[in-house]
Amino acid sequence: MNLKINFKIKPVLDYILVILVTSLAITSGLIALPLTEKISERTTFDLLTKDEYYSSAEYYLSLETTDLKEVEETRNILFKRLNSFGVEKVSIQKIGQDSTTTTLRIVVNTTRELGFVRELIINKYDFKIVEKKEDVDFFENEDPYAYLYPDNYNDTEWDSSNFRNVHITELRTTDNSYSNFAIFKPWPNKQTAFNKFLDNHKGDYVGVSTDGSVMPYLVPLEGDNLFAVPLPVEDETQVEAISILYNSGHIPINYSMIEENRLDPQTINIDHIKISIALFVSLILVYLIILLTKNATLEMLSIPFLATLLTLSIYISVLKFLNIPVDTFLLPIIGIIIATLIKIVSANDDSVFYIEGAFLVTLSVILLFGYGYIEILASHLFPLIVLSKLSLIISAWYINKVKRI
Amino acid sequence: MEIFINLWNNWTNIEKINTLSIYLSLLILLPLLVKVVTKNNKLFLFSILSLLSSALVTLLGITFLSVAFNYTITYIFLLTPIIVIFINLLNVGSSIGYYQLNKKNKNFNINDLKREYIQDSMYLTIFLVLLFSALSIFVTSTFLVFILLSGATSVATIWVNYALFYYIIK
Repeated sequence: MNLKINFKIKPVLDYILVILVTSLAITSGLIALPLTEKISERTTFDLLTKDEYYSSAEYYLSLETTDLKEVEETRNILFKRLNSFGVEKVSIQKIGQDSTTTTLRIVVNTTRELGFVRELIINKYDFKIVEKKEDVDFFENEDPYAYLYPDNYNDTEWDSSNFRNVHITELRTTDNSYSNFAIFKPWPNKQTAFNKFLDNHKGDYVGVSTDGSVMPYLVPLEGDNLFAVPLPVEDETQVEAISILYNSGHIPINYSMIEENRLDPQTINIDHIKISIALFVSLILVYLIILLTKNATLEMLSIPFLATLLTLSIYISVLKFLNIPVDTFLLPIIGIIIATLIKIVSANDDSVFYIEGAFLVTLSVILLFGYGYIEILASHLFPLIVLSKLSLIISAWYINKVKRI
Repeated sequence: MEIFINLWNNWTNIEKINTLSIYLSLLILLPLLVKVVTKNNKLFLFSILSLLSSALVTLLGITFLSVAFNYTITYIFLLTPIIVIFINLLNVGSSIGYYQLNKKNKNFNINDLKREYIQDSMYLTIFLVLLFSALSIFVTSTFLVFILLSGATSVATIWVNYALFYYIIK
């Protein structure tokens, strides 16, 4: 007698998947809930808010020019530096002018270290390549630091305008350790001439003179013409700041800082716990009112409601897990946009592709040209649009499967 | 208008160029996408006018807030146009989708599109009014004003769009 077991694998897999999705939803929901960090001591699920890390300062610069074009170029480069460094709010105003000078007032409001922000503002960072004077011998000099003095070098034709980029990276040193180097990359039409310059100085000292202080470089006798100057810095933020200073452009005039003051940080203080509860309660109220006024059925509302909760829960869980700092006032804005997107897209199946496509195009444009909080908002929304699409698909599948169970 | 003049004078050229680039790029790209997808000149014109009108509504809203209530417009209000653009995309996008799905149907009538559009606009308005109102209960001060302004301009944009739609799409 043969016993035939009629075993269907698909329903079993469906059950397992439903259980997995339920676990994911509950886990992310619990992690996303405010004050979760108080439930468990083994792990910290704090939402890292930027509010208490903001600091603000104002800097007054005196520019040795009254030429409008030079003033604007200086303002542009300073803004570019601060924006590249991630300073959230920058204001550079022209506040005064006399016969020879122009005064700028720079106000910053940021979570980045003000020490580095100050360095980005006060340093002109105008660099040029210099060559050792022929009559100078560093080895026979009494002063062991002679190779650092600009007086021991002659200017060359090579300055910042000849280099398209200064790339800072870690390279292996002669003792097999890794150290930071600044690789100076000339424009393609200058490469041949620069190679010739290095060939003429093989075995000799050249230097990179930056604001009057020289970083010496011994041109190797052999090897390719890679102009990689060692940087005596290890700190990542310092490297970031130096890279920005090298690559933000040439400030055409001399200037000095005449005053600096710390200010009270300008923050929009929102209690993230209250706002998380507010968003959750708002969503429930909205969907309840729509259901009670019979504008839609429970089936039509359950999918977008679940998708919204899933998207926002996963988003906040990821922020907590990866300790990504977030401005709390952006959370309700993100919540409103995502909740509305999911509701409209779920009610208009025919328009999903066009709406989400338009959103992604818009966010790409904002990420390309945006700055400050607009850029930060777009960088959070972009992955959320993709996540919301996935959440809708998962929610529709989930509710369909649960109904059958 | 003084707030915009002051804002313009205080911005660096990079900020001016980047801000203009964002809005000009969207003004060119989004209608172009509508034209490529629908191949309908009226919808193309509607998309351009809806973006321009949403910009105007936002500027009027901010000016009204500043002049009528003597309210200091802070940096957070730079996010209002972005919220309005997204709401506008939802509003216009739903009609584009309906048109694309039904344009080849024999019984398709432009009045069906208008009916669908007003229905979608109503749903979107109800959802936004409820969501913004519910959220505004829990926030105060500058952020409350920002939420109310963004909500009001978003809803106004939807109905200005409807008026444009009614007159352009015949």
